[in-house]
Amino acid sequence: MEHLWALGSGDVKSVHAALKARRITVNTIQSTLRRLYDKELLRRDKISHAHVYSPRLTRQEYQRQVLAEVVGDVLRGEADAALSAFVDLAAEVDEAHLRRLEQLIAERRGRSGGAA
Amino acid sequence: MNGSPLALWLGVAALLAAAVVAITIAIAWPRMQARLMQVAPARRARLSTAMCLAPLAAGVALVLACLLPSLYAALWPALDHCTHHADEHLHLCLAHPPTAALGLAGALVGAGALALVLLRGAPGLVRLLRAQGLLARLHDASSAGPGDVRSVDTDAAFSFAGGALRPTIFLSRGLQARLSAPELAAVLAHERAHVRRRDVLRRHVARLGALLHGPGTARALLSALELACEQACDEEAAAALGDRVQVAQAIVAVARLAPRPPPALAATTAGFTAEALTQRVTALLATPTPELAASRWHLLAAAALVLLAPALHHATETVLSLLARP
Repeated sequence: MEHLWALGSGDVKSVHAALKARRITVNTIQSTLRRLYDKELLRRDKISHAHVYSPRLTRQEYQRQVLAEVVGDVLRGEADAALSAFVDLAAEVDEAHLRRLEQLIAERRGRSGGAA
Repeated sequence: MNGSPLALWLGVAALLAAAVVAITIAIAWPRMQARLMQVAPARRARLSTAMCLAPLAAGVALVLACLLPSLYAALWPALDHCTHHADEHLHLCLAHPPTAALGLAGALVGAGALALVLLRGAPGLVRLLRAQGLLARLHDASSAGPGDVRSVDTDAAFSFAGGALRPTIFLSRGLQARLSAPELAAVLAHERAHVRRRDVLRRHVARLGALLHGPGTARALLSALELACEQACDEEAAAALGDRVQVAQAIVAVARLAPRPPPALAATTAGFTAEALTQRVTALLATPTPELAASRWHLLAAAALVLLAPALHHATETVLSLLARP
């Protein structure tokens, strides 16, 4: 994705040439690009005999999409096993209950203010 | 007759000890719960953790107690009591391996109990691995915020301390934008308390120990631990800010902004959430329960184990003999 965001588009050979230093095989590059295409992160055009891939989303759009997905999963409680939330992420407290608690707080503030 | 391996007998002994302790806690829990709630939160969290781990600790302690006489005999041969036994007596000894074999009924019950524990633990492990993966992705997708905080660029309003070994505070921009400065200070002080106390790790350890309790007792103990941890962090935040009401106000403000869960999830959590919120807020508005210094009960327990090891060892041999193949 980094390479394609930098150049705008590329085929398997050009991506492999750019990532040569990492010793990744052409087959791995090919299957990775196909998977990214299947996930609708890349667009694919056939030019001559080669598939040329280009990103469907800008880097910022992609990051926003990833963040939205992760936050959605966290708010659905899928990370609950590994976190302690200030107030339960699945909090569903009715308005009347919250008002009662706010009233208790206000009374306490009033008493403290009166005592001071 | 070929005997079953010593490790197998010790495993059965550990399972029996764990079962006895788990059943005792399950019977005593209704009375203990009310008394536990009168204890200050940090101590209550320690006690809840200890009760979650009690069956596991009992199993480990009994295995140690069974092996200690072998160590005593190795250091001082006059203490070797195995020679006083009849040959067919079950020996839980490193020097004289058991000659008795475990009967079919004992083997089936032991294997069944072990399989049940593993089956109960597997979904939790999968959930934990998925949760850790999600937090790692959230860490990468968030940016460095004020101080030790990771800022999450979303309108949703939430804050939490996540991760067991390297806990991190995540704070959404939605929450930062909607809370007042004193409320935000209370939220951050609370989350820093979670990080300092390593509450996420504590919960993992407690969940592991709770696998040896019955499902109902495990749920009750883990809920008590959850509430105690939250209240302990509320107390630390109140002490740091010097204002208990400010923390109570922040709790209600965040509850008001909390994202609405899907209806199915809300139905299962609403009761506990509302009750826990009320308990946290009312505790902060009341006079705090004084925290007692940590006691040295674990040193006393270790001393008792060393002294009582021969008696426990012998009693365990007698009980396990009932499970031996005739």
